[in-house]
Amino acid sequence: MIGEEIPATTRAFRVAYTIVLNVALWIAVPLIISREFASVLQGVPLSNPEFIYAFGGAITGLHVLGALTEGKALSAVFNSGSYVAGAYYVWVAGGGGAVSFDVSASGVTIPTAMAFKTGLFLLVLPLLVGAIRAPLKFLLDESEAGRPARDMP
Amino acid sequence: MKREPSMVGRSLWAASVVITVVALVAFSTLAYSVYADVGSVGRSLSSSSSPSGYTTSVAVNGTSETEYVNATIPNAGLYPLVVGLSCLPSNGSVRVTCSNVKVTIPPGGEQTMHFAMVFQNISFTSTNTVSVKGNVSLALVPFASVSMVVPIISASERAG
Repeated sequence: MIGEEIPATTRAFRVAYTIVLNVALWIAVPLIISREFASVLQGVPLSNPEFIYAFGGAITGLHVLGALTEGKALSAVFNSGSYVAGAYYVWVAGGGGAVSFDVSASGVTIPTAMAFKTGLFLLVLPLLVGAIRAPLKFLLDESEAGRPARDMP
Repeated sequence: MKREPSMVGRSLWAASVVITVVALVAFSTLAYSVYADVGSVGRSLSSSSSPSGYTTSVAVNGTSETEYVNATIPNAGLYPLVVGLSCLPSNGSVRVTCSNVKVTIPPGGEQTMHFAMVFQNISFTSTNTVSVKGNVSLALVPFASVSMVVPIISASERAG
């Protein structure tokens, strides 16, 4: 909250929680997917562990910085940036919703193309909303920082 | 000092919750549809299933032969299933042309797909070679589609 001092222990707990959640979401899960579906993901950035570590690390870093600077203007920048990076990561990792791969069955290679743009867009949309929400929430909270709440019944 | 969130802030929060819930519901129903459709289409087209989901008939006319395949495909999923089949240009001494078929099967329903393949220039004196590949497409509208280039026939047969 704007204008409120967050206790150090609360902040530390939030940072730890953010690290665990983001490492699991942006690094561990994509690594498992890339390993389990290696044959399907040929030529897609998700098959490249370096891509996962680089983007996963960057998104986690931005989220951590956002948690560390919570209540300050920088927090909105870091949080918004992390959502934008997350949306870009999901879109690029999914090959933009079009993946081509070869399936081998009984000695025959079958060229296969998969398209899932709508599905991928559904994954990206909440992240884009988050990217818009983070700065707007900060600006709205800041503009109302001095206004007292109505008495709750 | 305690403050209450603004109307716009609450609306944005509600919008992200709704979008996330819609995405979760869409993905879970899509996963179920893929699972159900793979099972039902596989069982329907399997030659070992009884009764089989497809019938074939052949009509011979001079040096050409037409093979008709009628396949009844069910859709056990929750989204409309679009199944398409077409042929790529054939190789070999026998020329093969196919009808391009595309059927849309509503959820819980089934559709019969009528597919015809015409084999021309069949020789009764020399070896016939034929190789044709087909483009099979499956789509769960509006979320995902898969298209595969599969060998339909690849054979060489001596006349007589």
